[in-house]
Amino acid sequence: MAGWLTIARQEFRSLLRDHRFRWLCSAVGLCLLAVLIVGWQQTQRVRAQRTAANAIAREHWVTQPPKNPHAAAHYGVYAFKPQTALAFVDIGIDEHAGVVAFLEAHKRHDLTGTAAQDGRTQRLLALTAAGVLQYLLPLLIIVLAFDALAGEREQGTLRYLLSLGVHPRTLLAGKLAGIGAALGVALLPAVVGSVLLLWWLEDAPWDFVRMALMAVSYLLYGFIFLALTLAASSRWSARMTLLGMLTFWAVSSFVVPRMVTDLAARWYPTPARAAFDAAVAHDIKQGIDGHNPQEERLKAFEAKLLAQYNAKRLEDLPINPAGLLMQESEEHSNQVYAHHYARLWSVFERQVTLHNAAAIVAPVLAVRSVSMALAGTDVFHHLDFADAAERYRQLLVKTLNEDWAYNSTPATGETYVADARLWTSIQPFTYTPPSLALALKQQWLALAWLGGWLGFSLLAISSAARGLTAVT
Amino acid sequence: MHAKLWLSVFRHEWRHLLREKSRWLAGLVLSGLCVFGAYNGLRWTTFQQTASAAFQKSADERLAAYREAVAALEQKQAPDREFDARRPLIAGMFRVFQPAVLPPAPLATFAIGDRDLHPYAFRITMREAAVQPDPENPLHAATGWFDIAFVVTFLLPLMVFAFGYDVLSGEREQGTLALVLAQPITPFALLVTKLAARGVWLVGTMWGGGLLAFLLTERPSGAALLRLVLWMGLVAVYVWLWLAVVSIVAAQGWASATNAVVLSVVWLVWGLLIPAAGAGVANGLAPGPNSIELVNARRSADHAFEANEKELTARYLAAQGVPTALPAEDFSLRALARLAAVESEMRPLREAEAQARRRRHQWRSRLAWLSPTALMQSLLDGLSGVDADRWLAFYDQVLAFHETWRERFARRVLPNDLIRAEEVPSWPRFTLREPSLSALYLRLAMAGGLWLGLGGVLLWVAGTRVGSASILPAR
Repeated sequence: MAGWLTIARQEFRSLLRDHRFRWLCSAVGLCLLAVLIVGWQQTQRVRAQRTAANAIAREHWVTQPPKNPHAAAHYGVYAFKPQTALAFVDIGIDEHAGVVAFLEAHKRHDLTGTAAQDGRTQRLLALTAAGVLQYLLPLLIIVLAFDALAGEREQGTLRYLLSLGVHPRTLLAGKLAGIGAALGVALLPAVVGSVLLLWWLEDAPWDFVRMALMAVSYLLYGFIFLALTLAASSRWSARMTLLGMLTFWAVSSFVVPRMVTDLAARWYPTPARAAFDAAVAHDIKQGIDGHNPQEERLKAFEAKLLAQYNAKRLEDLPINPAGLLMQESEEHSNQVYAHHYARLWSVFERQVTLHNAAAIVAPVLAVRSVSMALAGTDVFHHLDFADAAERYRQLLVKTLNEDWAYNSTPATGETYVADARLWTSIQPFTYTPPSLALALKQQWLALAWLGGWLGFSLLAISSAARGLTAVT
Repeated sequence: MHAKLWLSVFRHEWRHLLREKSRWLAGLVLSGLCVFGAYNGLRWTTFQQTASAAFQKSADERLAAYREAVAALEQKQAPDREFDARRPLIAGMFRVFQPAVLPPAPLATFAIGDRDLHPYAFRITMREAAVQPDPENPLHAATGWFDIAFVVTFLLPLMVFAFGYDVLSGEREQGTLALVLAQPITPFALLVTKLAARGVWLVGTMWGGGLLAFLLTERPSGAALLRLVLWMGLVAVYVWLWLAVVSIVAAQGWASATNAVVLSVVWLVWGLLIPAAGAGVANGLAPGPNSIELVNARRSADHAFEANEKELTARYLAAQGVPTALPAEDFSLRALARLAAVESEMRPLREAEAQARRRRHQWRSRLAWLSPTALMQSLLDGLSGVDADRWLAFYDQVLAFHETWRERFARRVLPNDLIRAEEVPSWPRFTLREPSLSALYLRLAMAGGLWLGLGGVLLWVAGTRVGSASILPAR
């Protein structure tokens, strides 16, 4: 037992003395700290701006002059998607997802206002902490560990070690622990920095739990690459190990994700804007799947109203039927939108599932999904906000339509105005992100593949230990 | 004598490459990736063309339905009401729209570009020129797409490194370098001829892949063929540059493994980190209002108008100097005054946003010269017509068309000049005037010159280094 610790200590000290290690780890460590700080400043600014924007939007709503409730329903409300605290570690899809929701009557608008539309994004390697950990950390590990065993073999020291009775498993465990510890020391300032930055930014305890889980997932990711590199190094020459692992890194990190994007778009295509809008308009007019066209529906509703109030004509009703007819129409279009957006969301979800499934050949896809889910910056969180905004829109419009219906009559309907009493009675839109458990549940496949890769790397290193010899 | 020896080494190296199965496999993979990338590009351009045609069709149908509605009102001699379809403001704001689409350019299948940054369709009404984005999974936008431009820009340098990292060190580690240098050939000549053979192989593979992709996915035309030729030239110069980088590293006399590590780091820093940092710098140097600020500013302007609607509408009327028969409470009059008031408030912010966008683009273009991958990406996007320059030219034309489209209706509101059915077919449509490619050609020439020159300098430095360095014993 003490054997692996001795080897680990020796490896650790040797690495700390190695100028290659000091240079590379300093560079990556500094890069990580820098992107954390810049990301933190950016997140602080964005969160403040969106909080202020929501307050301004509320102010606009409650101070609008007296007007017909239906006019107010078209004036609408803006809601701005809040940014999560951990976005400073992993910005996820946030720069490519809309943040502005315009909530008005009759129409469900898509979220707009992406950073991409503002012309501010960089695609291949986002300079965030997540980007550094997902793409640079494996490269660092490969460069440090590719000759851990192969180099010993080529220099002849491996034969000496094995002849002293050091068990291959002990040797591998020691190398793993030593290199891992050295990397840990190099990345420690960034870890401490990120905890401090989160503490300055936010005091929600669950965010620290999320950060801890992110750290665990990146630890596993780093372990996978380290174990695979050591396993390769125990079987192949240093040159082959380096080439092989670099190829694996380049293909899995840069080629596979993009290929999966195109395959997902090919197998699960999304509609063009015109086709989507035309399908929605058709279903609103004709009913979903052609059943229950709008005219018939509204006629039936009118008949129901007349029967309910025992009146012969709409003009005789004690309430304003225009408001209720408007609401009836609204509820139908809500169903139509729900139907079409559910189909669209389902396509997105299948695309995301394909990305997660492709983690079988690219562990970066697994850790990326898990990291984004923990940071609250994945597709699931985005769609959840869009749905929450839509629920609020429906409630807002219903409240306004019913106020118009029940506070006026057919004679006074056109001149009826509501005022600040109505505007302020409608609660402002507040959004609560999904719980941690729900967020992780969505990523079960990515978590499974992360576990799968961990298992595979343990198997690889175990098999490497059995087959370790002093010659290749 | 020297030339014959160089040629002999080249021929030997070439035969060696032809015999190696792994090189053939690499070549096939590279060509295959080109074809896959082109098919992705074809899928996207087909989608875009179909979507654009459907968008145009829906606009035409809407216009035809509007014309029928106006004709019906004219036939019935219906009295003019506040929300009459013949009212110019009602028509311009609510009843009709014009689509503005950016069609795919020749060689569009070779680069998909930044689809979410550069939307290809706008819906133009009297009120605004609104983007018409297709519903897209934001995860895809964040990841990026696999096209030939990606293969060339990011994977080709890795392939160059894979082919060249052990060009001298491999021979040394196998023990054959000393034997080879016993021939009357200098280390530099050996380095250059070996790299040349690999370069020809790689360029040939990329040209083959590109040509096959072109035949399978593009409609041959003069413009497309010209762009293909330019593409091939650019690829060749790009390979030359990265081979020159390999030569510098190879000339140091390091072990193959060390060469591989150094080249990986060079690719990472020069190819990925510098462009990423450049984008961040460009954003920092050209800050401007973002979408949230624009939305809230517009809303505030709207809100301010609503609070003093009567007074501001009267002021607007007085400023026009045009008498109107419309009552003060008329919807069209109020809406026009509101539109004018909000536009007036928003203009400085919009101009600031447009200027900031352009400045960011300018900075990105300048900073792209610091990284061959950033520059290559922008040039390949330019050859395929999906670059920022073409999009900005399109966007400028959209805004200009929107101004004239709005004015067409706005000037008729106060005199209450009703729309007539017979005039509807003669309304203008948006037609793109393709921008000149002279700026692109200039950038291509400058980039080619820069890379040829830089590659030459790197090779010369490699030559001095390999002459003086002791490359025979392993380090």
